[in-house]
Amino acid sequence: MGKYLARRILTTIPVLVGISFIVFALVSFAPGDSISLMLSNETVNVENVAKLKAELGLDRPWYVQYVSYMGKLVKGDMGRSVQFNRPVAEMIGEKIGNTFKLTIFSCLVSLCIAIPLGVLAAARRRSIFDYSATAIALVGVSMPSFYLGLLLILFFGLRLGWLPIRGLPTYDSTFLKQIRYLILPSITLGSSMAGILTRLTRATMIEALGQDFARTARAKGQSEMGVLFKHAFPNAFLPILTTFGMQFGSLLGGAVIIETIFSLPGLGMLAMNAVKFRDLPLIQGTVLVFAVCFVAVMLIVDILYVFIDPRIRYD
Amino acid sequence: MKKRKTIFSGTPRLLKVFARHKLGIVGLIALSAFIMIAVFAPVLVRFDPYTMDLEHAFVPAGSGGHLLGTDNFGRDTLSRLAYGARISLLIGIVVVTLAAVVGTILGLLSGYYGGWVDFTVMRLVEVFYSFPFLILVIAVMAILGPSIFNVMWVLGLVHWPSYARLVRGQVLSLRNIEYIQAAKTTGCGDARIIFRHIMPNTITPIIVQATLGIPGAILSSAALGFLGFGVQQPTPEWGSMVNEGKDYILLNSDMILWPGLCIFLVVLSFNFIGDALRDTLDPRLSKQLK
Repeated sequence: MGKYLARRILTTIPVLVGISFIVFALVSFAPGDSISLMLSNETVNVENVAKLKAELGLDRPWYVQYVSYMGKLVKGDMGRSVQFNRPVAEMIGEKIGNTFKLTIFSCLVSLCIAIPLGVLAAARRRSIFDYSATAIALVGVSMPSFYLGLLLILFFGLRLGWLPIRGLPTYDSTFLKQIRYLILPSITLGSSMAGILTRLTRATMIEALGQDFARTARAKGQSEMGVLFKHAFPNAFLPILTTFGMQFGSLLGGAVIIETIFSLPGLGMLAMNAVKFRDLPLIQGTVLVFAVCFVAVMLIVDILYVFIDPRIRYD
Repeated sequence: MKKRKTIFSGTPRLLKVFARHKLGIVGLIALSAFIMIAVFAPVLVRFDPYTMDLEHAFVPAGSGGHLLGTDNFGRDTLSRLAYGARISLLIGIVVVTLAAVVGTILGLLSGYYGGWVDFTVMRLVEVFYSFPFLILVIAVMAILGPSIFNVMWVLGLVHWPSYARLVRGQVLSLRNIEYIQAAKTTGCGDARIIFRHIMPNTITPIIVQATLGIPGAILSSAALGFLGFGVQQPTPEWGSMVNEGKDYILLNSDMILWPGLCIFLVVLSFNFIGDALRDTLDPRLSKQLK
């Protein structure tokens, strides 16, 4: 078990290096001059460009630049935002909490829909539950999230006026108030994951219910609920967990869209602003943090495996 | 002639299996309709999708010959939707083709040669997998500048890893099978073995994966269009049409409803077809893929 954990943690190192390199290359090997992009609002003259290049160390060969970029990164220095003239790390630190709230809520929404629906569909195959679960799942998977978001805003926010549609009160508000602001964004962001997980839960539960151990459990007189939740579900849970981890990446990507639609001040909105103003250090920083979050979630999922699946523990 | 027969001998049976999937048939019909609309858009619609007519902006559906009304610039919504079908379908197919070609070649090389080739390709796959890809794509588009060609190749390059992984797995299971060994002993070169003997056996899962990949590519390109980093106005692209409509959400929600519905329906029909195709061509694969 210790060996498995050590190996799993070590394999993240080349991935992290690869990520940092791509993020670095994104700006360094981009066609055009990153300096003229930065200076696009000011009068660009050759002298200014050369001076700023020397200041930022951009006149050195790329591998020297990469090493110095990595050196700063390890110390937590992601450079300064061109637009705001503030440390990128500090700006990300302010916003990341809201994105966490949004993604965690979206995960909860999708799990609360997917698992009961998938289990019910598998337990009552070819019933109305099964067909509606399949239909809901297909709609969830096929719906563009920005479209769903706008529809929810239109009906629940504007026409009915039930829920707030913009922003997130950060200070002077209770947690309960914040939840109200997160309902529509979380449903929007979680819908596609809910669709994918519903289908998967249904499929893996059907498979588990067909296995010998499920039959044995029934034969020894275990109640149907017992068969479902004590015997079948724990076996179906592992692939669900894996897919959950892998889908977390698209959830983070979707956060950019959802935060833009609902004006939630999070990492996604920060990234969109950075992109709009071509604020290169801020683009690098946000992309990097998004990728690192995803790697961390995948790592956590794999570590959870050790505690959930005894087969790995005893190897 | 003989070879043809062996390739197609299973086709009627496969068609029968596919026909059992009612949703697959529904998807096929819906998609054919969208393809017809895309191909014959100039003949089918009365108005030019680019012509502005500010006097007739926000005309309600049905009046003045505008079946679905007009947008904020007075352009005919139906015409724009019809021309938009061309763009979405084109992007979906080009992106997936590009991703499948790149991924297949890298997967074949990685699985066949093993060693450092395999190591490098698989680490690349892992790195690409660990980016929330939409964010990477937005960043690249911001730096390169948005255009339809950039959308296609950037999305294509982001989606290759799943094909590489799939093909590599297939190659590993085939590499030591007798007929490959036989081909080697008769003196076939690597290229011949890879492309003549191994690749045909990986085609089925690739086709299934590609069909299931098209809706994802269409959704991503629509999301890019919506965020303003995809196909640019005034080109009628569904995602950017929704983006334009969101400023008039209360005044005229039709501007959002129709293009969004089109994206949803096209993606849904591809998903129907993909599911049916997966069950038809390779029942074993259904689990491995999703």
